[in-house]
Amino acid sequence: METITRNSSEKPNGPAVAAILAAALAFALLGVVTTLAEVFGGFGAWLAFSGRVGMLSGETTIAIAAYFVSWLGLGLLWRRSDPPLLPVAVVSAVLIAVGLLGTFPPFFRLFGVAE
Amino acid sequence: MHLTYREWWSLVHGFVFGGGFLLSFAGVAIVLYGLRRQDLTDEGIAQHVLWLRLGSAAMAAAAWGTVILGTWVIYPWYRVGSASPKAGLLSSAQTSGWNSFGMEWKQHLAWLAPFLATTVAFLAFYYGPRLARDQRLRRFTLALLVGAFGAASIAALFGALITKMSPVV
Repeated sequence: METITRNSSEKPNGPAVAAILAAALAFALLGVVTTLAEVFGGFGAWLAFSGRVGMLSGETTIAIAAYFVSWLGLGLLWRRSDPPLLPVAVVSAVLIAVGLLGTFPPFFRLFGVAE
Repeated sequence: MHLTYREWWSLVHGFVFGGGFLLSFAGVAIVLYGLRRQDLTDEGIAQHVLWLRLGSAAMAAAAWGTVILGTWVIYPWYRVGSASPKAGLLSSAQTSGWNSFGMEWKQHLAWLAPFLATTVAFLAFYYGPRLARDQRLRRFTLALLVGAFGAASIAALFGALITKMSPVV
């Protein structure tokens, strides 16, 4: 059986955890923003940063910004810390599930959004 | 044989970037799965880590290329205009679901791939050889890689089917 060996010279988990959570956070935010944009027409119209791309332009721009800003912020915050991976995996899975739900058309159509 | 300007860009989006991402997944997954301390010499670990770093970085670049090109270049051609592929799909109840479900889901789900693929590449560069001796970390990285592949595969499948139904020309 394989065992985990770690010595004091190994890098801390913090920067890696920051990268993982940033990806999950960005996708969760994409899901939330997508559903809100579909449900609230005014918000959806505001998200049309590019007229040709429509609200997808704003949704993805916000998600990309959230990804890099949260990665940078969490990375600086946890650059020397060593958080355990398991809770991070659970939180990341929940966040990705939120993103999957929010971007799934049958979900946001539950709120009366027309096809 | 002739391809229009838009078809060339669609080819780059779906075949060069998207296809490259999906194909390279197999190689990166095998390298990562085989990166085990007990099965490799120090030299073997170094070789695996090198290929893992190169492959995962290429996958992340391909994923970003696919979604940026798809969202900002191809998608406007798909949605704008009375004779657009989107308008064509919506003109019939038989085909409208390809837009209202297929395209709506694909255009968002695909963005999970670059986020996860970039994270995998970062983990490969950050941890390197530690992935060979930390089984939990390696499995977690593999799960992220599979997640990126799954999202990209669904998006690619819908992309191919929608293009078959109503191509961007």
